[in-house]
Amino acid sequence: MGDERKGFRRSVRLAALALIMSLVVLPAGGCWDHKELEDVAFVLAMGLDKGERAPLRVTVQVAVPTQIAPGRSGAGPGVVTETVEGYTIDQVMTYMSSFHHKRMSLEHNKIIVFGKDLAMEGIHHLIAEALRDREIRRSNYILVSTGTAAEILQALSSERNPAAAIEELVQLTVFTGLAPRTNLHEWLSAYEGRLRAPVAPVIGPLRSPRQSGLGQEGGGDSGDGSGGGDGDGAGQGAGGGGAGGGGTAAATCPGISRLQVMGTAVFRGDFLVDLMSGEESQVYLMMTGELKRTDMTLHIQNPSAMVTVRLKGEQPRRRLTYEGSTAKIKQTIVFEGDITQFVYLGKYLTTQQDLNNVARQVGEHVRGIAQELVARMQGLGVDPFEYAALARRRLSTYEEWKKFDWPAVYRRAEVSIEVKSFIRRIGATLQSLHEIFPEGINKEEGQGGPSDGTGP
Amino acid sequence: MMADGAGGRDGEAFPGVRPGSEEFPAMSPEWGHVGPAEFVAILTILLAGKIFLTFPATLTDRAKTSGWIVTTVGAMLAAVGVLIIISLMNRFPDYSLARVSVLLTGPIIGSVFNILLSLFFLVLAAAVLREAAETLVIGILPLTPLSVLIAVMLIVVAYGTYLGIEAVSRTAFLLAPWLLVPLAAIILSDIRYFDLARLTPIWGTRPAHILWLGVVRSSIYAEVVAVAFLYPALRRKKPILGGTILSLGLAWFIITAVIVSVVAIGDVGGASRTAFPIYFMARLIHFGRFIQRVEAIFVFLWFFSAALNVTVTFYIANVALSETLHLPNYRPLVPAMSIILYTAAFLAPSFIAVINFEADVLRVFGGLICMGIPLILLIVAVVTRKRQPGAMDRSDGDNPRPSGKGAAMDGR
Amino acid sequence: MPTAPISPTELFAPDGPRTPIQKDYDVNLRWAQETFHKDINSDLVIREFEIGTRPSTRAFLLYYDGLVIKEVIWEGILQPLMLLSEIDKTDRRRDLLDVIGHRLLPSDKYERGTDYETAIDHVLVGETALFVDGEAAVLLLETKGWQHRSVERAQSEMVVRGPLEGFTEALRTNTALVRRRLKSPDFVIEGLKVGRLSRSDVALMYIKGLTNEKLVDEVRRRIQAIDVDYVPESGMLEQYIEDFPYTVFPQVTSTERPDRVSAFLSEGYVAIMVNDNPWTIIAPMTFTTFFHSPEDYYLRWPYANFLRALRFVAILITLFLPAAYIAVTSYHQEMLPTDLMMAIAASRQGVPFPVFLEVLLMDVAFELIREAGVRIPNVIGPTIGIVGAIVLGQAAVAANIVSPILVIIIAIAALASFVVPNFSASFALRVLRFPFEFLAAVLGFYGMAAGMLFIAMHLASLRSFGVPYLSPVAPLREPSSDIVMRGQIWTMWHRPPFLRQRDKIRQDRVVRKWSPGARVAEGKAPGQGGPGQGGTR
Repeated sequence: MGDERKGFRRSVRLAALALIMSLVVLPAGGCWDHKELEDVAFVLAMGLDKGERAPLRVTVQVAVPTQIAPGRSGAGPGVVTETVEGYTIDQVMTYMSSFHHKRMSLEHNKIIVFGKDLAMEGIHHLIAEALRDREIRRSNYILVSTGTAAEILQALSSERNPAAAIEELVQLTVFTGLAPRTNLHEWLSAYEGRLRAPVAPVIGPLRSPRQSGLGQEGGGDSGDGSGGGDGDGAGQGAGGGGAGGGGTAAATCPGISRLQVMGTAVFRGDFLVDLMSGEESQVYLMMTGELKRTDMTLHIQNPSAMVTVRLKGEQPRRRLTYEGSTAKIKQTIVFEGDITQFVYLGKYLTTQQDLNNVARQVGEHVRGIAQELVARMQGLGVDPFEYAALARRRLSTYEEWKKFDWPAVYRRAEVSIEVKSFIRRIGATLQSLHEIFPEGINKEEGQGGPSDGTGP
Repeated sequence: MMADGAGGRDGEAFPGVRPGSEEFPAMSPEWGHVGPAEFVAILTILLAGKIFLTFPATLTDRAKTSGWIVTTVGAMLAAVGVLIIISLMNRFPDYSLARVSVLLTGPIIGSVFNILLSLFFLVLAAAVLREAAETLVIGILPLTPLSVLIAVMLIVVAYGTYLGIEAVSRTAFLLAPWLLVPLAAIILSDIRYFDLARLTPIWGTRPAHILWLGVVRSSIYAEVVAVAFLYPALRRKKPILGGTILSLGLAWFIITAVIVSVVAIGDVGGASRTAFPIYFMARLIHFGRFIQRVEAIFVFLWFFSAALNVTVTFYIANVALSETLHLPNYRPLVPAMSIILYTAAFLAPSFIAVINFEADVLRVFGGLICMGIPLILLIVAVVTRKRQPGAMDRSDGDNPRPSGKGAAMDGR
Repeated sequence: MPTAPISPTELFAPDGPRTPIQKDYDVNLRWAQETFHKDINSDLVIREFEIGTRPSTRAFLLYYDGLVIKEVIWEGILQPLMLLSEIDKTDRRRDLLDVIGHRLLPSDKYERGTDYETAIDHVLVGETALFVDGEAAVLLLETKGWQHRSVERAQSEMVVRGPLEGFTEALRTNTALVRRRLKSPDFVIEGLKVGRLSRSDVALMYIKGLTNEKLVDEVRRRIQAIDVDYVPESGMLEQYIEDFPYTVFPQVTSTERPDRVSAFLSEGYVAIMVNDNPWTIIAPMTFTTFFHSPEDYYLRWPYANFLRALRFVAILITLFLPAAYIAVTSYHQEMLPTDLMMAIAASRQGVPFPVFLEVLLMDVAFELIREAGVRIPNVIGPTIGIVGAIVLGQAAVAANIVSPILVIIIAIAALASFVVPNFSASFALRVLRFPFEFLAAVLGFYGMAAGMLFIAMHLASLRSFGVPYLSPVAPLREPSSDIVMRGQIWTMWHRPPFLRQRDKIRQDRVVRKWSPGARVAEGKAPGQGGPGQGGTR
């Protein structure tokens, strides 16, 4: 009896040993989801355009690890750009894996750029479909190009990592305040919740230093809806494809070496309807309370001086009341500023009244822009300022909200804007250089002296 | 006659015998000792584990912005259910629910009740197992076959069930901070996406409908009937009521916090559209250059909560069945039941089917079973004035001295 | 007298037959020569002499050369008996052996045995047996002394701050080292013998009145139940008495340091020492011992907690870092920051092995180096260490067999495993690392999570002598201030509750009675009375 059991036990042990040894060998070959790092092609940035032979044209920047890794001096470019046309993003990705010699993965993708033409036709289906793919994350940044997405992604070819450069541009909007910073999630929540119209920052090639202007002339006129934009399609400084019609720029533009993120793209539903200029974006961000920090430069009348103010946004206050069937919205913009440049020959900024004076004028300027902006948006029937939230709060069930026609109410609403501005600090110098030349400079006297009064 | 765990009050340390030896009376399964802290941990995980699955999305889909009202109403009703259960079991402090039902309603109806409960817990375990594995397939490991993922989790579950509720509850208590802290981290990291305006209007659909949902969906907390099965394992009976209410409260807090966050971040549409709301919240985390795309870490969170959840559920199914069949120990049933569980997990043809089944069928009938059976039993107990023989009212007792066969174990 | 040849192990069954000693001198002598194989045994000495009674009496000494102190035999036994004895043999009032033992032999202890087996027992441990003609008993005299290592530093548990003494191979020296630190008459050292062939002396140490009696009884029961022939080391004893021999986690602590032993004893543990080896066993054990080193208590609170935190992180690192690396680079590449991932991908170009095999290779290589380092003679030890670790690693990287990041990871994990103060515990971690690597290679983080939960549940179910392994965390009875982090030493006023001692309070709630804050806590005004009160701070 003992022998049988011993034999049985031994065979059990052998079987177990065989099993364990095969198990140990198994992971060497890799299991189902096993991906060796060097077998995967990581897409760093993606661009979506209207295609010619198919509805969608996808352009991707794929990393080349040996060139892109920091510290490695590769001879080639850091990324490879591929363009494929197809029907859906996933289809395009799979198709790309058939000629790009590695498996495509969107896991490290950070940027999605939408071409202007595509945006004007509606992008909801793209975004919704993108979310089904587990590799696309909601934290990817969205940008709208002034021309096509392809040219944006083909730009900056001399950089080691162009996608990282674009990403840094996007991150810098927090610092410059010239564009919002939107990711997929924010765009989608805005679109679905209908609390506000979705917005996205605008990216385009840097035109020339001359035109990266001061916004003194106010926001540029922006086209409405369909293409054939006139003049500065995207306002100051981010002009690009809009000028002179849509198609030609992309086809003939050589490799762009500088990109610029400035301006806001506003969507009605999921259609692109408007592009705000840089300055308008600043004010817009102030109105929604998303502004962290920005610089505003303007010429004030009293006294006649050029002022640059560094603004920190505060939470705005808004209120909505109904008079009859008309909505009255009262918005208060609040900001605090420090004067960083004050070009004026003379003694100024020494008393609180001076500061209040300057603050008031800056506030007026801002108010003017804001009023125009609101009027324009009302005309278009889009509400990027999130006034809808005020109305939503007053309803009692979600079903009611779904049936509520906010755009109609919004168009007829009366919006009054008030600006409260405070200037707290004037920089590191207490007084300007008026002491040296109290009466100003006489230009005919020669080249001495400071020519444009670098003030405090 | 039920021995009090591995040897009585002082017997936890140095009993000189290992649990499961011949010195234990033959007719009782060895219940381990579950202390009050471990009990709260295990019950909270049992109740709140479902937030990692699709539950927040389905709730938001039905209740729109008022999910938190539904959970709160449900919690209040569940508290009533808890009182029913505790007052029932306090008449039989050393018995488990299976024995009580046989005692009160006779062998036939009692066995039917037991089998219903065992079946409910088994199906619940299968559903949770399947959903958790699907979560991982969709989210993290898309190419791995489902059978592998379920098999791996099932091995751990079977091992835990085999070890007994004592070990499982201690593990739950040990891992509790590793579950709560990452969950809080996920929610807090996404705070900048919070927009409380998305929670307005307060009533998703009509107020009456919401309250009705609250009543129906009190089955969210249906697993609280597990308390009745764990009674013999809990040495000190006095803190049971407080502990259960505490678990209920904690579970309510966790579930409500998650529901509120999910709606505040994604709005009703977004929340009800995502397959796994916590996963999507985890994917949003983005702090600077390094802390981004960290949702893979939450695999641990998922796995622990899902596996512990399934382990306890499966354990109760085994125990209920073993008591119905008059087996001295539930452990022989574990391998067979594991195979049944594995097969049951695959019964649903698709992920959508699982979700719908769980939300519409399991929760509705489950609530009836889990709240109804104790209610019936309590009524019978009050009417017939039955109590555990030889036991005084043990609501404040500590170490019971059962008469009969188990008395020899006393004072060990 | 036993006539048939008896197998050596049978001879020493503890409850075997006992043969009484005979009076005849020649019978005894012959017995001694045959039993101890005098004709072929070279270190046994049978010294025949005559005791100086009137008339003289024949007697012989029986001892092992090498186990005895010869000077004691010359001066303490032979000299008084041969030269100085003036015993009138005709005095019938007293037994001759009695007279010898009480009046003539200045030995610090002696015993009188009545059977041959006792004589054998005692001669084997180095005592001398004195057989006297005409007496049916034997005197067993204390002459033990043999060469052994003197007290040196503990080899394996090094601390910076704290006593450096370690145990040696002599049982009595070791027990003395502990007895010096616990000066209480209640500190009991029971003597047991284990093993038929080895008859190893086992010392069971505890504090009577403090340690739970049931624990002591259980330990004693287990030791006495061992019926085996040879127990050379406490490690074997450990394996005979532990509850779960198949698990990877040790259930008793072993230590080389007397200060640790005395600390454990004072908390209510039981210590077991085995003759001829320096490692002492402490029972029972809980998981928190993985994190504790004696230095933690000798250092100040901030430093001790820093070390404890470091140790905790080190344990996590050594278990999970290689596995996490495999999981992240094979399955969850999105977790890596893009630049880092590009760097890894770039450095992996051309490496032929998949990540798992790479890790396995490096891990095995490090374990080889580690084991080799233990065996290598001291002179070339450090050199080989440097050669092995650095040059091999560097060469492997240069040959593109492994990627440089992996070398760093494995090196950190290996270093971290040395931070664990407990020798068996570090083994447990080293062994466990491999299954986790395997699980991570198969299923990424999912596999790791499954492994973690499995281990956690396993730990929760372990018991060491009845004490749950995860005490005091898992069955949470009372809050403890010494689990991973350590509270201030004056807060540890009760002994670990899971040991169920009889005397639970270790110290007063207020220990630092000189401190004004403490006096306030006690309810007295801060400035009154108390020692050390002098007006200046």
